Amino acid sequence: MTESPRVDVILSVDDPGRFAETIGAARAVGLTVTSEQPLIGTAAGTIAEDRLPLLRAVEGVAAVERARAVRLPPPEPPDR
Amino acid sequence: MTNESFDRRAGEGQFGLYDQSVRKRENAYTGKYLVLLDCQEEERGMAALRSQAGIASAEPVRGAEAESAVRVFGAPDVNALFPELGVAVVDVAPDQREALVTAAQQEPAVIAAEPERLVYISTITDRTPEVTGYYPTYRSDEDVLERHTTAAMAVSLGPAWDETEHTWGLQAVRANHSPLTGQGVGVAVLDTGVDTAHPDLTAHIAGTASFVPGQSAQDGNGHGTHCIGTAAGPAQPQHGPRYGVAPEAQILAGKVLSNQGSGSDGQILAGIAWALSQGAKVISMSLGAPVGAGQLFSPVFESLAKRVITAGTLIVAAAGNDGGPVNHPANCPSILAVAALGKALDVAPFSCRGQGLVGAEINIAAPGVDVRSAWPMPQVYNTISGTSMATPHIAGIVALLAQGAPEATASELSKRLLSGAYRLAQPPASVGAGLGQTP
Repeated sequence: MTESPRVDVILSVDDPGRFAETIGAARAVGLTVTSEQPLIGTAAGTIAEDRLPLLRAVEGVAAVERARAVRLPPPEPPDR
Repeated sequence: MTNESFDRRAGEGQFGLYDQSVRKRENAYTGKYLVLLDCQEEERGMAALRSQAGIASAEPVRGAEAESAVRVFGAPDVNALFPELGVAVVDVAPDQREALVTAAQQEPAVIAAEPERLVYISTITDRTPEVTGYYPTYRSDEDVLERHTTAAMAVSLGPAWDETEHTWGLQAVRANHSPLTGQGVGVAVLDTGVDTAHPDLTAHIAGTASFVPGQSAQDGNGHGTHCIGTAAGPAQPQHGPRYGVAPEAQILAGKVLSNQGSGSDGQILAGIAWALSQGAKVISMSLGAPVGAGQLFSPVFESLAKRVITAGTLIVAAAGNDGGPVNHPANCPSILAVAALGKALDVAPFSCRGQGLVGAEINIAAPGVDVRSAWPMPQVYNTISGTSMATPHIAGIVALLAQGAPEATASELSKRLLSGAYRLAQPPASVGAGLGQTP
């Protein structure tokens, strides 16, 4: 059986006051945390794709999304 | 007339509240001309028309002589002269029109001449009169045409900008007239970092941080430095016009996009948390990811944006440059999406549009075409376009609003920003509340 590929995710928690506990539970289902922001109740990390439903089901996790690549170049190239 | 008969006729459409029995025509004329004469020289003016254009004599009609007026109007080949008004109504055959116009232009006693119009009652369904066609008339009508043409051209060209002292963007948001400077207000720009050695910016950089692995906060792209310059460039830059909206704001430069101009959601989350911890009053994000039609906003970003607002900070983000739906994360309800305007104050063709989904609307607009601002050394300055350039204009305005109302919550700042916008003719789906204005 092949291993499920890992995907980049971001998540938010219901209650930033219980941030550490919630992220601990998320780690327990396979989340590798790459950054966490207790102040705003978010974290980023990677997880095996087939474990996403488990992560979404963790108590205290409000939302889980696949991380996007973000950019916004100007519509015209700079005149360098 | 009984009510019954009136109602019946109205029901048949012959009479209606707005005189539906009359079929109105635009630019309809009677074939006669109205001639405005010098009251002191009426006879001389009429004599000129008779001799030069072959116009028949006019019979005087006094104001109290209603019957006389009806008789004159009804008689063929008799013109009417109203001595008290200095006006004559004259019959002019088609081949006499040019001669009449020429005579009117040459004779000082004839002030103006114009075709007599068919007139109708004014109803609420009337359109605003427009000059839509040419009719051989006196030169005053040409003036009207010229004025309309000039006005139409002026509207299409927009305001004239002299960028000697201030960029057109600063003038459009009226930053050059604001007594506020953003002094002491933290403005976080999450982008490609900043050129910390830039002579215009170094004095006001309060903090930098990089969330891009392997890269310092030093701007190796230019985009970040440009956005920071627009939000908080100095009142007196080394060269050229002033380009910063809030020249004494405290700059917080968070690098969340690489020198190649890309980043990830996780890097942005980290940048937002950092900006909040540094006391930023506004977070400016000239970045985004395109979304598909009908795609909903990110619950994670919406959740954090609400928390940021609760903490007292406003997030503004670029609407996007693909002309499609408002990009992520600007499409979150709690993040203000900024559209880009051109110099004519029309929405830039590349600027994304609202799609009618919750949150995915444009909230406000700002200058985003041909925007001059700072650029990493040695270039020092650059002029580029994008909703990226519009966003820091709004961030700078928020900084000024925050300085002017230090106790205002983020929600109150947002309301002040939107209610103070200059309304534009374009639809809200393209420009939101309108062009952002400094307090």
